[in-house]
Amino acid sequence: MKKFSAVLVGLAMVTALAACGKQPVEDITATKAAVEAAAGEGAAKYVAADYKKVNDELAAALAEVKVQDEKWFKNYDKAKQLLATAKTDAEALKVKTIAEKERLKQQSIADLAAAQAGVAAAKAELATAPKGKGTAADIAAMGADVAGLEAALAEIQPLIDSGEFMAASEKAVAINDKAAAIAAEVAAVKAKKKK
Amino acid sequence: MILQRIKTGLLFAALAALFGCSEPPVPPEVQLATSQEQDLWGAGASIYAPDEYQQYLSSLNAAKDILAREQACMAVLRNYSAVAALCQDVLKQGELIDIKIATARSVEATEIARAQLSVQKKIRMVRELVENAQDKRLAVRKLVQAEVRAAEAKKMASLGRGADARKRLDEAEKDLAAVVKVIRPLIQRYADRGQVSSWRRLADDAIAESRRNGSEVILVNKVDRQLTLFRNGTAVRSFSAGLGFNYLADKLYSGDRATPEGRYQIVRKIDRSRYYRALELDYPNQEDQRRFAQAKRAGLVPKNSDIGNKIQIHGGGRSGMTYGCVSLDNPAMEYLFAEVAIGTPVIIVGTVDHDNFLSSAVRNLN
Repeated sequence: MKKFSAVLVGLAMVTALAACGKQPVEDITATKAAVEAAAGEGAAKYVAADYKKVNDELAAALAEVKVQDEKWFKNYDKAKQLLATAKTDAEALKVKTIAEKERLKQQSIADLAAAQAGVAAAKAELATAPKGKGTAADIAAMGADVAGLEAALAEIQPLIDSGEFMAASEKAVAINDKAAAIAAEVAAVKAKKKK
Repeated sequence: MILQRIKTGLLFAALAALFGCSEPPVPPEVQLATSQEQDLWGAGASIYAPDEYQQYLSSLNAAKDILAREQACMAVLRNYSAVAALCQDVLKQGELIDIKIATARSVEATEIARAQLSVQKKIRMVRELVENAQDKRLAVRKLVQAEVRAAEAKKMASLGRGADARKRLDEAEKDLAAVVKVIRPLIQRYADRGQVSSWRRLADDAIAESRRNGSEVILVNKVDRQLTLFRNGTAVRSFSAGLGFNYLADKLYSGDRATPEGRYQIVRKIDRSRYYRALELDYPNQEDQRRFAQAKRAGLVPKNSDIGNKIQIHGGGRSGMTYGCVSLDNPAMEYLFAEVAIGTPVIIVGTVDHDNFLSSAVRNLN
């Protein structure tokens, strides 16, 4: 009877240990999904460092799962904890990615609007420039420049549409700077003409 | 009883030693290698040393695998010496990668700086050419686009985005190539020694004739934008002159805004002109008519175009663009008008100097 009880206790212990040592498949799936969701929003592009951190966390958690997989008496508590952290960070990363993406998008839209206004101002300035002799060559050159800037402006919206917000902003700023320089040149030509 | 207690105490001590108290610490190299990997990634290892970085990551992961295996053992049996050795190796690999990244970045920065300089030099050269030549056809919109791309590249390079900067500079080079493609044919003949020699002969012959006959001759040099009055073969006065919008070309038809080239003569003196005073030339001469007819046959001029006429030397200001005439400041025009008579030869040439600024520009563009 005593012997039978000992076997029963042993079996119960093994069962209990085996139950504790079940691989956290759902946690793994959920964490991977959270990381993929962040990636889907463009985390690698817009918040690259944070994306790498979350990926490293996931890799560390999966390594811990692997360690426990190889053990006789498995304990996935630490792995679950690591997965939970990675999942939380991945979810936060998704939010951060969306916010950063939106911020860059709004910035690029604002930069485009500023560039459009800058080019329009240069064009208007050019339209009122004296057309007479002495300035015609300068005006012709600046006219070509303004036309060139208008053509360059058309390259910005496709960049925004494809999510290349930083490139869009950089182009817009460069165009706006050049437009301001042309407007200043036109003003100088006008002043020259007045003299 | 006491013996039993001692035995129990020893058993607990042994178990404690076995399961916890003697657990060796994880070697510090593991943390060092992990943070080194972060730094290498941040520095762009995957871009500047991709193969080495891949190898490095494999070594680091191997070390982490062994670490995990050791941590899976009972504490007393854990031995991290292999992990420490591997991590030390990883750290050494990382240091080499770090050096490679720094070198690659430095090379890249130098290349980008060189490319930027090259693009900026070309832009400056074309800008100066446009500014000095004052020919409307040289105003090409792609030039400003090259400038915009160069500015973008500068910004990208300052942010350490070398690959992006290089791409923009390549695009700027393409824009400039398009600009050069337009500009080169317009100025090519000013670098053509045969053409320049022909202009020179035309000018020399007219000046020699002036010397022989003791007469006046007017020489208009397009590149120098200068009109010179010769008497007895000697230059008497020179004036800055304005020319056609597209003066670099030889006039071919009405409305091309080019100033004709060749030997002409004054056929009419207009005392009251829209542009102060004017000296009308006998454009088109026979050579002009022959060229026009040839161009028309070849479809090189608009279908309904005619050859044009009324090319004048007139007043109104030297610093502008005309529809093909030669313009002078009014005081210069007044002087010239008084000094020349109907029949005075007027020689209009591109240049008489093989080393003119346009020939230099052609050389530079090449």
